[in-house]
Amino acid sequence: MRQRIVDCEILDPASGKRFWGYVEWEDGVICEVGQAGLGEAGEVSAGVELISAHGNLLAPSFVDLYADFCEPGFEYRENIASGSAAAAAGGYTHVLLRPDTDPCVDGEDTVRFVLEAGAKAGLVNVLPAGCLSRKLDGESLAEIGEMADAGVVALSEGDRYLKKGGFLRRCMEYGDNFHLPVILTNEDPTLVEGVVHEGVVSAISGLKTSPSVAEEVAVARHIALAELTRAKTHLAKISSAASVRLIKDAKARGVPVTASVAIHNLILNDTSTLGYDPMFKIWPPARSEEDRKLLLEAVIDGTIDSIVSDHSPKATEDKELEFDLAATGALSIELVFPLLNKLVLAEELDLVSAIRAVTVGPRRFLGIAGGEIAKGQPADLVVLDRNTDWELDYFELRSRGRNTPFLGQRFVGRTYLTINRGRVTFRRDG
Amino acid sequence: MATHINHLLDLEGLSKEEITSYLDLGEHFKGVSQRRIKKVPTLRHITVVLFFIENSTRTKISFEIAAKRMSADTLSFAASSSSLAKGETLLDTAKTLMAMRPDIIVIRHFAAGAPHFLARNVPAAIINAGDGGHAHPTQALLDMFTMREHLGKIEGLEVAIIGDIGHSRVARSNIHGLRTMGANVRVAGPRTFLPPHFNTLGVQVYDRIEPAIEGADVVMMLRIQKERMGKDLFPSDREYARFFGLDAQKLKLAKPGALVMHPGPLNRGVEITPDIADCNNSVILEQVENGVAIRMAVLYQLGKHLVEEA
Amino acid sequence: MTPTRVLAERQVAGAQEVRNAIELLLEPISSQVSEGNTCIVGIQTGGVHVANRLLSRLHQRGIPRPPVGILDITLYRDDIFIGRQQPIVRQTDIPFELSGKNVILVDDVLFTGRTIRAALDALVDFGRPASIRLAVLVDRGLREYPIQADWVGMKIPTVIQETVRVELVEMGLSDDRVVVYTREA
Repeated sequence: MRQRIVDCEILDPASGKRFWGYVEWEDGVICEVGQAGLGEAGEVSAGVELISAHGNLLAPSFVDLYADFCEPGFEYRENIASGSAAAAAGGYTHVLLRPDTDPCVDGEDTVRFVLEAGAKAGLVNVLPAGCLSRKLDGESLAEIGEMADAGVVALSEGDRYLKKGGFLRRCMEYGDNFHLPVILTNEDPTLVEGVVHEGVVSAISGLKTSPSVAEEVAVARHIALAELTRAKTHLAKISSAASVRLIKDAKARGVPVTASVAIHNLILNDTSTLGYDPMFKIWPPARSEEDRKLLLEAVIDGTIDSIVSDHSPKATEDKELEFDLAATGALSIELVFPLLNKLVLAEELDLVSAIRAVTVGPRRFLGIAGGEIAKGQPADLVVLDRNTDWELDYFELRSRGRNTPFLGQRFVGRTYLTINRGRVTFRRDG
Repeated sequence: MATHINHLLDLEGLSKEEITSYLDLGEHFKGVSQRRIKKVPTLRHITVVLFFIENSTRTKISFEIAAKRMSADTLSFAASSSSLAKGETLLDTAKTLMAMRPDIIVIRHFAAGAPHFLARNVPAAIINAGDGGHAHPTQALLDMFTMREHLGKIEGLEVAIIGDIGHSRVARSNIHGLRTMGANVRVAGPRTFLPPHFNTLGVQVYDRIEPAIEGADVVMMLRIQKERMGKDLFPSDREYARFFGLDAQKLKLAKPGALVMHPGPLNRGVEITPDIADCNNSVILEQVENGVAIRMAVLYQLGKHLVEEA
Repeated sequence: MTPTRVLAERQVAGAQEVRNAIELLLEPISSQVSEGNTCIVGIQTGGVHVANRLLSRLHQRGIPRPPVGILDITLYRDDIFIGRQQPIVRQTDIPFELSGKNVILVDDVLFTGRTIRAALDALVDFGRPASIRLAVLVDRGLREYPIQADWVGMKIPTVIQETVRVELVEMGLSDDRVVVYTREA
């Protein structure tokens, strides 16, 4: 079936080109890209179905490198079906899932379970990650070879930090044996007491802290091991300026590392914790305004390659507690574009860098095609409405969770249409 | 006492001629072992002490048989029953032994360099039967002997060694010996088993078994130590067998008639499938037989020079 | 081991004398072989060449070839550890059952008798022969053990400092001869 989308301003983030035109695809692969003004359709052959983008922006679809769909084990928060619906609504066609579920993904059985659940939901390409250690015990290797054959795309210990550096080295070497990259989060737990950035604000609030140095130490360790083992390493969810400096230096030296930042760390700073509202309790902590600005610069200059959602749905009763006892994390996957647009409108981030960080960067890390709007590329696309003013209300969200600090807030811009291999997986009504 | 002491501590220092003379002698001693009376009186004036601090049944028995076939007297010294367990140092134990005047000490020890330590401090001929992860020279000699016997030569052979290379003294000694004799060595194992600088030893290093076996004349499988399984070097037997174990399918990549070797003891179904361990290409049992012959040759070479002047 | 210089060399037997000595041995050997149940064992390396010469003469006489073995006695020597030479172990091959057979042991030169003593020990490790007879091409005297040959090709009186060497065409040389050397001490 051939389809053509018209009335769109096409943004190709890899090249930075922007032009009004159309994109036609057949059997999920783009067969033609051309110029056409608003209201024009170009030369259309018979039998081609036309879709209107209503004057909105057309970009490659989003790819997430770090999200929690909570299944198996925590289905009361989210499951792969609801997570997929939320992701498609967020403009995503590919989502890499954290493997630290219960049971965790440490063998071919759980890998197959995740893949089947994703296929059944049929809305996004669910990409499983595999655990590094068996049962997340932090000291024995998981059956990585089997998982590689079963279809994991990367290895990760989720949000856990591997205390035994020697074991992490072995994991990286062994994972590299099967050409699997490693996604590592970065906080040395022996240096922290809580999840609030240690700084002027925490001195006022008295909340338990996590200093930047805990992340810096972890990042340094991971960079050194990546240099030694030459394993492809991704430093996930960077939150501090100090880490950015280390990563920039490592890349300049040719160490095989990439990095990401979670969307909330680009939006919030540590002043958000002053109200003691657990909805703002996230990890990595929102750090100082200076850190936030440097993170934005790092996205623009490419030191940080990707922006991840770090989608972390939690049950309401787990959030409606005192700050110290409340669950950590916020859902985010449906809100990534509205939040990015907020930064673009405030001129803190340019549109091309923003889109590139959720389309080109993640695809490059995973080695998957797309991210470019051109003939022969997969028809993985998203239509972004940059103008509509709207309010986030409780029932908007497709996720099972409701834990976002932005409930009740007004946004400008949201996703309009998500196209996965030529098939529409999300359409905004109204 | 002795006019000149030789030792066999490792293969790094040995020349091609020295290795060849061990192999040639091995042939003669293999002949002795095939006679009705499997004994020659040559070393009947020699006492051989088997000093096995690290446990081993097969190597110890092999040396014991070899010594007895040379008519030497043997004395066995095991770790647990020894004074070492009571805290006596290696040196004191060795000196106590020396008071009983052994001529040759065959030592196996956990610590790399223990035989060298003895050689410096104790006036006996020392044979290294395995020191930690460093060397196992008689194993490499019997492996090369087996290869030469079947393939007619060692120079130019393509030899693949597969397994826990980093911790293997068998691998190290074979690498040194084979390279001295002009063979080409490929090593393979999961990356966690491959130490980073092994390519400086002049071998090709692979992290998959297939490229290493392709076109090989000899496929040598190393034993996976079960203690290492399920820990931080390797996840499980099953995964090892699937990706790095030798089976009929993978053996097809080697040259037809390639030798299948293993220093023993076998973990059937892990590093090698039972059908391949017993197949026509397998020379594993011959390695054991050749081990006695080579050890007789080594005892002869070292022992013939030891003389008591009246 | 430092090589020593040859001080003097004299030929004590030429080709004809060697052939005569072989014929002298051949008589008793061929009757023994013809009686049957007899084998010939040559001692490495000189005895092997002499044995080969005897075998070709037996063949020329039309006598069927008896079982033949070669014996290296290095591992049975009593002087292996004394002396400066590196003893080379050579091939031993007795490809038949020795027990019950009459053995004709062959060597090139009989001297102190120690080689033959070692050869006897080696032979009985292979089986229990019915009898052992010793044939030597040259007896140079100076026995240290009570050992004598049954059949001798030629006697050559020598002194201890001398060395006797039998050269045969079987060794790749141009002609047969026996030479006596004196080396510096």
